Amino acid sequence: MTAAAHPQDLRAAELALGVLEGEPLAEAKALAAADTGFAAAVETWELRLAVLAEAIAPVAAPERVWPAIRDRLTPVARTRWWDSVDVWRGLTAASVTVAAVGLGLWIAPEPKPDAPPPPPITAASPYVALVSVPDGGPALAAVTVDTELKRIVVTPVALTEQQAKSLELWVVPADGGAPRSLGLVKAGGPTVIAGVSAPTDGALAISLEPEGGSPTGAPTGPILGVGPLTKG
Amino acid sequence: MSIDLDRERLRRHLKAVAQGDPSALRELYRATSGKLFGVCLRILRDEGEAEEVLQEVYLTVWKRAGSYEPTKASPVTWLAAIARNRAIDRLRASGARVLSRSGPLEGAAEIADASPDSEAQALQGEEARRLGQCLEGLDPNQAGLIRRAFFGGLSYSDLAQAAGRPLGTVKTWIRKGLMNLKVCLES
Repeated sequence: MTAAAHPQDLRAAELALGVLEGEPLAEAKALAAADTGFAAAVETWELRLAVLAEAIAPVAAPERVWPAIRDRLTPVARTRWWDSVDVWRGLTAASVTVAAVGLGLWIAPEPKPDAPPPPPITAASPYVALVSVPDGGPALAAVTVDTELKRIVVTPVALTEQQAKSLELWVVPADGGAPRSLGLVKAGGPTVIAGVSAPTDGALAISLEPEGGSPTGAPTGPILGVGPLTKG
Repeated sequence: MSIDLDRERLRRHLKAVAQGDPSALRELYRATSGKLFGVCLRILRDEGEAEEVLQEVYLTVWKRAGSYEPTKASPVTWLAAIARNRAIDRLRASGARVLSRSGPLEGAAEIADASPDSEAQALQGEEARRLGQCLEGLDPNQAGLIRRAFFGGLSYSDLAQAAGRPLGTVKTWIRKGLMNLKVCLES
């Protein structure tokens, strides 16, 4: 018996082909949203079937189409950094892990033995964020923000330094404004960032930057993880 | 028209697009828009709608190029999957026209017009040839319904109506066809 008869794979094929309707369609969509393995099976089928479309003869598109596309690119380019996080969200957890390994990063779940325990989240640190690989990936760091002391503590969960690179913490304002650097963070133990304007809303993100941090004041490297800032 | 389907070059373009390079998107568009416009037209059968969907396809590529994985599919296959999905979404959004535009009679013609022979000839590349061969090996009823569903965005009950067959039969044919296809592709 081959895996071909697996009912879940058949359901993935039906969803990719687009023949489901009603209740089975709703169920399959919910499964694709919740189960990365199932979502990957759907993608595999979409790509298998897409080869059918490749058999279609090309037809020259009217000249006006490209300028119309080009004119619609600008807003995306301006907010590219944040969009790239959306891109990451669209990936399966597995492919994110592969991408991160490709960057030379180990997302190792086990805590470092010599790392001190994370500082307790108390009334003195009312805002927290868990920075994780997007799309339900592993947690990379826990961040607490103390608005009274204007102090941010970043406790790595699974961050690794890379040669000639720095890890940089950013706040992305909830109003969609430009990300603001909060400083560099260490992978080997907690980093305390003091004397900064402590954010209370939006999301925190960690990016991989050239040694010493982003040269431009805006994130330039890949986004390793993001997490919403919430009241602890 | 210059259709450049060179895989490596397209991969490089996609990589540059993922890094936000608009000139790479321009190159990608130059090399692949004919192919994708053909896909959109085939599914939508309306130039205006196909043009709009073609724009959406490249805007999607602009945002999602970073998620392209070379190990899973060739760039053209990945792009064709986006074009097909976008076109089907548009077709469904326009609702009732799907069936009024392609009723039962045209359904039969459609199965015939994408005959396995012409498809196998038109398909390029190793995976494509393989799929062509596997489709050719399927029961014609199964293969015909899969094509009809793929290009027409039809659900099981739409297909049953279009083909004038009982719903249960249509489901069985499609499911058998899909599973036979998988066995063939993985053999």
